[in-house]
Amino acid sequence: MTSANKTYIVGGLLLVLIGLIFGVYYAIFDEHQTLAAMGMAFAQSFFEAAGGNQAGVSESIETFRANSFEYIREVSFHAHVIELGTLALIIPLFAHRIGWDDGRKLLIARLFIVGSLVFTLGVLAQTLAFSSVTQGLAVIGSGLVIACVVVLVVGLFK
Amino acid sequence: MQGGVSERLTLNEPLSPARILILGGILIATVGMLFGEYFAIFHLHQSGMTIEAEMLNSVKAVAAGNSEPIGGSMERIGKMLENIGTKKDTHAHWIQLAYLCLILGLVQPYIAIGPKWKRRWAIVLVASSFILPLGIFAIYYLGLWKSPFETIGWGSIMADTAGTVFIVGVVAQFAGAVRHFRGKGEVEAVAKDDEAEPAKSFLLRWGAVLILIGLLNGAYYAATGLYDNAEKDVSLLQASLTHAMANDVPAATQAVHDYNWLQAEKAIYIATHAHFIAFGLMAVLLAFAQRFVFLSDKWKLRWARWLVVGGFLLPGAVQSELWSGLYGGAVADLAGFIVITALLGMLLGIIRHTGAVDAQGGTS
Repeated sequence: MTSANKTYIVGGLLLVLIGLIFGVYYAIFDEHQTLAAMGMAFAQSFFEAAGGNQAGVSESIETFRANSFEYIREVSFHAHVIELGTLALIIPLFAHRIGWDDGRKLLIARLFIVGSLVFTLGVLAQTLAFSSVTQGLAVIGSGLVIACVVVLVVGLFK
Repeated sequence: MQGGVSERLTLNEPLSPARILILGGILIATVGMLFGEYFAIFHLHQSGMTIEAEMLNSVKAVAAGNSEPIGGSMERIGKMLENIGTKKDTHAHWIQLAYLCLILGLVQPYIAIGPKWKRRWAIVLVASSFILPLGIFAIYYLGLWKSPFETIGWGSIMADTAGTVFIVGVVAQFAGAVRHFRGKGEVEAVAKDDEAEPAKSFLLRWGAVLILIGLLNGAYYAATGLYDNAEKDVSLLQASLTHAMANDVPAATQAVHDYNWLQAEKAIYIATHAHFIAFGLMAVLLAFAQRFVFLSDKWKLRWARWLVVGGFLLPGAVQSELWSGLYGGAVADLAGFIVITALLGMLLGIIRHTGAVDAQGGTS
């Protein structure tokens, strides 16, 4: 087996495992609590409005926004890390059809795995600190993944 | 991924771990897709309209300064969101776990675990893949009924337990892969990739294109809509309540309508992105399952084309719902049946192959 394929399989299994373990942890310790907090804040904003309390409305909507922001990114991390791990596990099945030398194939494999990690961790890190750094990580990581897939698709059609 | 030295043809043995995982994977994917159709036809659009109606009741109550009806409306919205959320998760988890079973089935020659344990793990992986989404489905119906915990019920316990079992199964496969790469364990024969097979090449190439379109679609939405829509979300909710507090019911109604349309728009973008990638992965995986499909090349290619047509049409029609509304939804539902038909056609061929292998005592 080529080094590129080893990179895809080991990296892919690691990505899938990270996603699965995070999913179970999240489902048990965080998801229900976050959804409950979102629902309560959403309902509270209507109660505050019925009571004519504009400040209370804004505060409830802000709590709803913050919980929604966290929920979207955590679910997105879980889904994307497993999806990209799945893709990494599939690529070795057809990588030999692409007629490049092993060095270039290994480089693409490494970039794909690194890109997948940087993208997904960038998304998750936004729940801790939403900044241009974490946004940048997500953009760079996803850009790397897309560039690798473009190269693979072109190679398949050649 | 070629080469191998043993005479053991792992994938052609009767009830070999690879065949258990591949057959189980395709069956679970078919169940997941049928469930997705049921969800799209009977729940998805109806729930959006119900949520909007309940929000309108609440803003009217706010305008009247009467908080009494709000509690009931919020409870119904919460139940509705839980209902569609768990059904969407059931669909997504069945499909994703089916893919993982298919992949693990295809990489079995690279997993160095003893044959008896390999088979046991294959059964455990398929069973937990089927049970986990069932647990998610049960969350809405069981709630916290007789639960020993404060926040999670028996549905979640079932899903989390199956998820944990699946993780242990993947860890075992990972350990087996590491063992294989270290040159330990039995080396098994790997079937050669038949590059001349038309259905396989067709599925592989167009599957890769579907994945790429899905990735580009996701990147486009992340760049142009994700952050803006999060801001719009909050401002429309704020606007609906501010107008209601000022007793401006028409403006509040419009803001509620816009808020719900925004939720639909976000769901459409995410569904388009997810379905392009999901069908791409399915096509690529099924490319490698083609040698188990006991049909003529002509029929194999027909089913492959049918699957790819559905794979392009469904997410395309979902995206078109932005301007075509329910017409796009109807086309997407039809496309879903196209993919299911193609899957059933291939499954029939795989069952024929399985029967042929079993009849020959696993020597084909």
